[in-house]
Amino acid sequence: MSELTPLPAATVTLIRDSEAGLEVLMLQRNFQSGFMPGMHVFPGGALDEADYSAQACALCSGLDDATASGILRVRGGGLGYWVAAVRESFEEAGILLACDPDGGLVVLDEPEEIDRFRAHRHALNAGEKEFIALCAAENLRLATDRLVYFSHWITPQGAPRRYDTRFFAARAPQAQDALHDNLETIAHQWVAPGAALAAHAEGRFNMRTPTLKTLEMFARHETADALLEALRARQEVPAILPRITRDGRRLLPGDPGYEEADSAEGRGKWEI
Amino acid sequence: MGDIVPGVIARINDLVIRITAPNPGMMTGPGTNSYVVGKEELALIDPGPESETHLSALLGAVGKRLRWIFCTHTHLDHSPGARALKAATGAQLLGFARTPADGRQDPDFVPDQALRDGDIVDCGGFRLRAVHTPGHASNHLCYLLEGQALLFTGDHVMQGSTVVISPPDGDMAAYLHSLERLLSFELAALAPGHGLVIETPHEEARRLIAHRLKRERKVLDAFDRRNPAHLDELLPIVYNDAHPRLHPVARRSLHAHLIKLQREGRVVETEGAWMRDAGGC
Ligand SMILES: [Zn+2]
Repeated sequence: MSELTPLPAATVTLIRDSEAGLEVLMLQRNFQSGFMPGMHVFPGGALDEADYSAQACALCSGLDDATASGILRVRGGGLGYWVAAVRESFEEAGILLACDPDGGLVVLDEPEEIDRFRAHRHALNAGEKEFIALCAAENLRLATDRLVYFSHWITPQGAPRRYDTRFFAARAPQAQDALHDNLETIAHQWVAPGAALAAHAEGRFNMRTPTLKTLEMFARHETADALLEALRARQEVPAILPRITRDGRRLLPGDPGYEEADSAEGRGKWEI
Repeated sequence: MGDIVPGVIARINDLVIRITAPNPGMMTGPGTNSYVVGKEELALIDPGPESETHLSALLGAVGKRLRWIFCTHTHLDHSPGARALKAATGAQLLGFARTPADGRQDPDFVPDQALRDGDIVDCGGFRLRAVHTPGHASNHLCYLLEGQALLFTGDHVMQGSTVVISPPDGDMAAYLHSLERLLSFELAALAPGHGLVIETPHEEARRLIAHRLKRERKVLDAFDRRNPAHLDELLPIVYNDAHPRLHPVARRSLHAHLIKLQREGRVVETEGAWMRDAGGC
C-alpha cells in the first residue's frame, strides 16, 4: 500500500455580512476536475514554489515567516500558506486580499481598475503572469494580517492525492464581486452556512468532510465579526487526519473505531 | 510485486500460486496466504480460516486436482479451512501430530498423515520437506519445496510485521533456535503465511534474530529503572517504540522474553514480580 506524502495546501474561507446574515463564498469544482469533481468547496490549492519566495515574504503585510511558522507549528516556510491563501483567493474566487501602500484594503471599484484586474486574473489563470510579480508591479502588499488561521486537515491515507491543508478565514473586501465575469469555469456562490448544510442534508450540495465541518462551525455565528473573533480565540488547532475504514467509511478523530482504522498497525504493518 | 488483494490469484513462479484469504487485520496483515503447488496433482499449504469466500476461491483454483492439504500450524487463521476443503476434494490432510491445548488452536485438526521434522512428502512432480520450527507455535512446520529452495514459512516468518510469541505454547528460545535453523538450509526465497514473498531469506532470518536479541537487551536494561518489576511496569519501558495499541500483543512476547531469561537464570519471578539477577547480566 503506497503512502503518499501530503502536499502543503491552503484553503481560504471568504466571509461577508449580508441581509440574510453571515455568508461564505463557495465554488463548485468542474466535473472534469481530478480532485473532488463536482464538489462544493472553498477556494484553495497546493502551495507553489513562489509562495515561499523571499519576494513573496517581503510583500506580506504585518506577518513574517518566523511568526507564521510559529502559528502553524512548522519549522519554516509557514508564511507560504498565507501567500497561497491570498493567491488562490484571487485566482479561483476573484477576491483580492491586498492593501495599498497606506495600508487600506484594496476595494477595486473603478471601472478601469476592474478591467485591469480582470485581465490580470485571466493572465494568472492562463499561466502568463505570476501573482507576486503582479502585486509588486501594482504596488500592493498582501493583506496577510487579515487572514485568521483556524483549522488543519490532512487527506486520509489511501486517497489518490493527499494534501496537508491549512484553513484561513478572511472578510471579503466589499464590491469585489465585480471581478467575476462570464469567462468563469467554476461556479461561485455566496451562501449562508446553515442553508448550505440544509441543502447538503437533502443531498443537493455535495461536500467533503472538512468543508462540512467548517460550515457547521461557521453556522454557529451570526456575523462575520463574531465568527472571526471566535476563530481568533482558538488556541490549539489540532491536525485532523480522517481515516478510511476497510468498508469505506470515513472516520474523524474521536469517532468509534478511528484508532484502529487505516493505521499501519491496523493494516498489520508493525514490528515489536 | 504489488499489493495483496484477497481472492486474486498471484503467481509466485511456474509451480506456485498464492491466494490470500479475506481476513486482513492487525494480526493477519493483508490476510492469510494459501499457496497452491504443482501442475497436475496439486498440494495446498495453509487453507486459512473457515470462510465461504475463501473456500470458493481455493476450489476455483484447484478444481478436482487437489491431493494434499498441508498446514503449517493450527492457529485459527491457518488450518480451520481444511475441513470443508477436504470434504469437497477428498484431499489428504498433513501436519504436525500433536495440537497444543492453549485455547488458541483449531480443535478439530487431526492430520491423516502426521509429519515430523525431516519428513519428505513426494507429490509426484515435486517434493515437500517438513521443517519443524517451534517458537510461534510448538507444532509449527515450515515446508521446503525441494529443487526450488522455496520455504513456506507460515507464521514462523511473516512479511510486514513480526510474529507474536505467546506463552505457554509460544517459546522465545525455541523461536530464536528455529530462526537460526533457517540459516542451515540453502534458500532462494521465503513464502510467508502473511505478506509478500521475501527474496533475501538468510538476511531476513539474521535481521529477525538481531531484532529479538535487541529487544531482549531492552528487557534486561528495563530493570535498571525498576527492579523488581511487574510485567505491566516493564511493558511501556521495553516497548516505548511501539504504538500503545500494540502493547496488549507486545505483552505476550515480553512474557516470552522473560521466560527465556528465567530459564537461563538471568531473571527470577516471585508471585508476578520479575527481578534481574543481582549478579547482573
Ligand atoms: Zn499463527
